[in-house]
Amino acid sequence: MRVLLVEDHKPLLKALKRGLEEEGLAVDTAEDGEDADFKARGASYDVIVLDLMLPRVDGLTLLKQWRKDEIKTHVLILTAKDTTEDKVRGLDLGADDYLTKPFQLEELLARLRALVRRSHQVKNPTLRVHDLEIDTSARAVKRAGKLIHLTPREYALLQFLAFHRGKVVTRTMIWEHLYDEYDENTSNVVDVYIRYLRTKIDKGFDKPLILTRWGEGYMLRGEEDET
Amino acid sequence: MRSIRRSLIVSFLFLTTAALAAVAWVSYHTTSVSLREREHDSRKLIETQCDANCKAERDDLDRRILQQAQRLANLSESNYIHAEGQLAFAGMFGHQFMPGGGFNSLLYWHQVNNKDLASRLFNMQPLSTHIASPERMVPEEDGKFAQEYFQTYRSNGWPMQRSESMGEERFSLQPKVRKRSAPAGEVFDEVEMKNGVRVRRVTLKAYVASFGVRFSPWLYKGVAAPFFPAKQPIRPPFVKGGGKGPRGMPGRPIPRPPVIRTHFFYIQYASDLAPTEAKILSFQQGRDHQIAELSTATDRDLAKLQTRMFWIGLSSLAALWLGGYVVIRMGLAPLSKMSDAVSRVSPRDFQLPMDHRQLPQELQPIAERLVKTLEHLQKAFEREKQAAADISHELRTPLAALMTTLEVGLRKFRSPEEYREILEECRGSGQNMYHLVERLLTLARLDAGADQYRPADVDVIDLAIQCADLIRPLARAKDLDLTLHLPDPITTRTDPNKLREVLTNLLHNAVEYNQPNGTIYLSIEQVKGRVRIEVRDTGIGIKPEVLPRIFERFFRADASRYAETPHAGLGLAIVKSYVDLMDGTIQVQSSDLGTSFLVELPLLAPTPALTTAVRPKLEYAQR
Repeated sequence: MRVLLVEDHKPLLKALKRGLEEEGLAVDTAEDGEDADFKARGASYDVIVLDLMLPRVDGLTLLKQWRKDEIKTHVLILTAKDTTEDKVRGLDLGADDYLTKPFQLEELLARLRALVRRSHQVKNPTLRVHDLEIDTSARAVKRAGKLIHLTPREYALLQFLAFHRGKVVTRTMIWEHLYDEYDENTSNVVDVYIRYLRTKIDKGFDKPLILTRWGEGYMLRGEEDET
Repeated sequence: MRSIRRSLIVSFLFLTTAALAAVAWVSYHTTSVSLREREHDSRKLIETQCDANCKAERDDLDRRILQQAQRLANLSESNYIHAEGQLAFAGMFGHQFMPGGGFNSLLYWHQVNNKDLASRLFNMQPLSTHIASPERMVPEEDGKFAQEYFQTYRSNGWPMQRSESMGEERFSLQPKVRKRSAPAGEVFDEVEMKNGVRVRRVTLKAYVASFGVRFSPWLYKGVAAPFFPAKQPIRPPFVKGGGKGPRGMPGRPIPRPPVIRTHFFYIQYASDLAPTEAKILSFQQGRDHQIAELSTATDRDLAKLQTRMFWIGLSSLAALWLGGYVVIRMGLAPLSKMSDAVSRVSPRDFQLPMDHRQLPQELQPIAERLVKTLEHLQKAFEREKQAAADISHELRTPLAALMTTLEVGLRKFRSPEEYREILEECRGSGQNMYHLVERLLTLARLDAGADQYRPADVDVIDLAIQCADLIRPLARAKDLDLTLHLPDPITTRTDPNKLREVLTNLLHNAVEYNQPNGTIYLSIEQVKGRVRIEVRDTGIGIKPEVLPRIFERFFRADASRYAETPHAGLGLAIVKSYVDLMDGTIQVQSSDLGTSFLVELPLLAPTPALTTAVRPKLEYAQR
């Protein structure tokens, strides 16, 4: 899950980036409106966390412009403006959620998760793939009732595959959604993490869930995929 | 609570009632006076008429008895003439007495030849005459003689003849008539007879001597006299010694021979006063009756007028009250409309929910003022709201940073280095918030007037050097050059803490908004009794359109200033307030080459005494 964090207050930006990254999110940052606009148009994010009072171009103008230009990325407004008028204006301009400062990190994370679920048209926070059970809210993974411990990045990869189960996801897609702008793009990073995940999920079970489509990418076994 | 409407209505009622009462009183008074005057005039007229009638009655009586007396006199003359022949005859035989028959005449005719004897006889024997059929002289009524009487006297006053109607009554001749010097003419008087009858009497001195030339006519005239009406005019009845009529009166005894007046006799003719007096009495009664009627009519008119005026006054008063009430209500309607509108002003929009141009002219200034005040209020309210929002915004962001940092830090166990880093970040956020709160408190104290001006003798140059030393490390960190242009020490009386705050803030700004490798100039000079401090940077400048607003609270010319240190747009607001408090001025000039702040403070002579005086609080809010 890749997030663009737009915030001009440096200490907050730093803390948020650390917090989200530790949750396994790929976080890009922007400190002013122009930068945010450039990044939002250049990469595909699952969610953009947007402050409203920004240097150069303010958040609402950005949002308006994005929605006008058919950029459909979910936007969560995170601002100190807490009046109803501000909230209404923000939501009416196309924001998907609105959170006021100060906030609980947990709440922000939950809202982000909800937004991601919504972007994949999933309502149930628990994803089931055969005997694999992914609780997106608790970030807990079980296979055949047995709890499996995953690192945040492994979890993010599994969740991404689960959201697209039965469909092939390319390495590029994985890269784009799981790694931020500063991660070095080396082709085998994805393969390495896939191997880690296979070791933890498929090892010891008859039916492998993570399938490799040669020349295309990877996929999580769908309900009909018996091969 | 006083009500304009009530007091207006009460005053109006009072005034209209008073005015109406005054008008009513004046008109009633005028009308009654004129009515009384009319009554008085009418009374006068009636009295005059009555007097005239009475007088006419009396005159009538007087004229009648005088006529009768004159007719008697004429008759006597004619009788005398008639007797002439007898006397001529008698003259040859001496005096002749004819006893009985009530008729004696002794006449001497002075034209006889024997003059001596004649004159002697004349002197001895007064002239006598005889009035033929004297009873015919007294008018009859119902076969009876009217209550009229006559009596004749000889010239010596002896009674000669009287009418039968006299009966046993006797008149006497008034002495004044008998006087020799008494002029000829008639004398009127009233006497009471023995039988109690009051009569009006005229006494006439009648001459019987006009002979010679006028003999012949008088012969016939004398005979015919009783049948001719007298031509003598009426004489004033109450003029004593009649015959002496007022001048111009055409009253000369006409038939009297003007020649010789030697023989005469007296005639008294009287008539009962009762009928005349009865008439006069009836006149007077009529008059009194008329006057009484007149008075009653006036009283009745006045009473009618009173009633009418009472009702008219009452109805017009009622109409005035009603009209006044309605008019006052209508006149005050715009006021209540306005008060309604004012009561409906909501703090949401501060709009007067009415078109104040529809109000009457008198209320226009109030309404306009009100609208303006509401606009100011709205602005102030919005400013307050904005300030609250700004404050909350400025506090929320560092607070959010602080909390997020702490939460992230506590999510898992970390190395001591990581914890240290997180704690450092927290301290940074805490300091940011501390600075912000400090500034907010400073402004709040300024607003409340709690931040007082505490003057002391300050060496401005020394203070500037201190501030420069404070800033120098920051400038060096950004590769900025700090250049000072400071003259010899300048000492003035001002608040050192506030001046230090002003300088530090300005220098801070100069550091912050400067461009890399730029320069900061700090120069101080003494100009015309003022201390002039200039802080200039070589930054990107401030856009002209926002230049007037940079001293507003929470105003940030460039929102990105947050990037370094959070000032929240309060620094310059505090600078401005402090400069005002120090009775100075601050100006700003900016171009793309840099920005220059120019502070001027009054140069006050330092005092050796201890500074205990506290300057009166400057109304900072009135800026």
